[in-house]
Amino acid sequence: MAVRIRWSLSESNLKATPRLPVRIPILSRLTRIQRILLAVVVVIVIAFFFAVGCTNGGSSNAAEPPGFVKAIGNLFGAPAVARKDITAPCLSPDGKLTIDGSCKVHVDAGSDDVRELKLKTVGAITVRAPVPRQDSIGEKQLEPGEEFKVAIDADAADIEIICADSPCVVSLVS
Amino acid sequence: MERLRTPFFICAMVAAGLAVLVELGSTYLVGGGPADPGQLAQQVAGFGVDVPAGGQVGQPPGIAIPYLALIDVIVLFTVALMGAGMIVPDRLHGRLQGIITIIAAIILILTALVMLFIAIGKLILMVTLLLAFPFGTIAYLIIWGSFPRGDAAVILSLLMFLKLVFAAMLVAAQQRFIQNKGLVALVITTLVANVVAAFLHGIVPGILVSITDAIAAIVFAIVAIIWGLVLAIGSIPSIVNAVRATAAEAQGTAQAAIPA
Repeated sequence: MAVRIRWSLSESNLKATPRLPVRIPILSRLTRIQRILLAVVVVIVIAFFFAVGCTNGGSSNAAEPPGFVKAIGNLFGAPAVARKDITAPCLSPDGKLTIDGSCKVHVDAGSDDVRELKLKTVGAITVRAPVPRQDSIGEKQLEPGEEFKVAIDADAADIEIICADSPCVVSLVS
Repeated sequence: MERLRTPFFICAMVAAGLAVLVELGSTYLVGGGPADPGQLAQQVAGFGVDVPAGGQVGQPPGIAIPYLALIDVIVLFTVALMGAGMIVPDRLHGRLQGIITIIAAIILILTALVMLFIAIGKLILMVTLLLAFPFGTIAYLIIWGSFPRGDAAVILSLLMFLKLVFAAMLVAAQQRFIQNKGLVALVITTLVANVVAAFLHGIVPGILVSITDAIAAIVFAIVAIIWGLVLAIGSIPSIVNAVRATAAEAQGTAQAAIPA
């Protein structure tokens, strides 16, 4: 006797299987606190990858540092060199350096890591000073009327000032 | 479910220990090598300053990654204290836990305070040199201007991996560790500290990374001090309980010794 198969689906068959929510095997086993912690860890890891991957590749001008660096500098700026630590053959008691040709200004060793010697020139000059914490000597040409800071480390330093047109006058700005 | 799975716990301890060792040894791994003098020459050329060539420009090692050890050593200490419970008898462990914790917390706070002042001093020195244009700026660029951001990122990635392994192994060892809010907060703190270091290394242009690195170090030292205080305060009830238990025991022994 031949068996007849019915291909049509009855209404009851269609309704028989209820739709189950999608369940991820591991997540469904976790408690609520475990899920929250897992999410926190995932967020931290993603933030880390962003932090490592998205670096600021731009070049900054060291002469014009950003605001937060200036703010820190304003809070903890370098102290000025004490007048008693400065000696020079061209130095007058009123704090002016009257230079004929060139003059060497000596700054004694101090206790601060970095100190500043502020100069204001009337004429064009060239300043030669040691680079702090380095063996090299830097040289900078200044225009008339320019104010200039020489950074000096804790060691004693000799700063050479050369006039472009002798004689010239340079003031120590306190 | 209730048992501590020892192999996973040991793996967690090893991962925490390795993280601390990598952080402490990072000064030998990051920086130290010669930097590209071209970058310095390019910057200095714009200052109108002549500096004779020949000076060695080096890569600074940075201080933020070693300072991460101040936080991670707390994690290692906490896990080691838990691990000690497997070796030391419960009674002794319970009584010593509080005392050891408060001693460790005091040592941590003092160390972090000293390191905080060192980091602040270094930050001030860097900033004052950078702002003392042009000779100070040149000095800053020579000493700190070439931070090896790539090397630091590699070390931070390794640390992140070790910390994630630590967290995973800890949960695998015993799921109830998740219920320990202090431990969870500590693990999240160390993970976030890693992100903060990576973020501060990446947010500014290359020549300023040493400054943000020092800022990160200051943040880590402050976080370590806060955690040290939390540990110290948290250990007080344990010490009080240990003292009470010891006193009660001594009283019991004395009463037993008196003949009826």
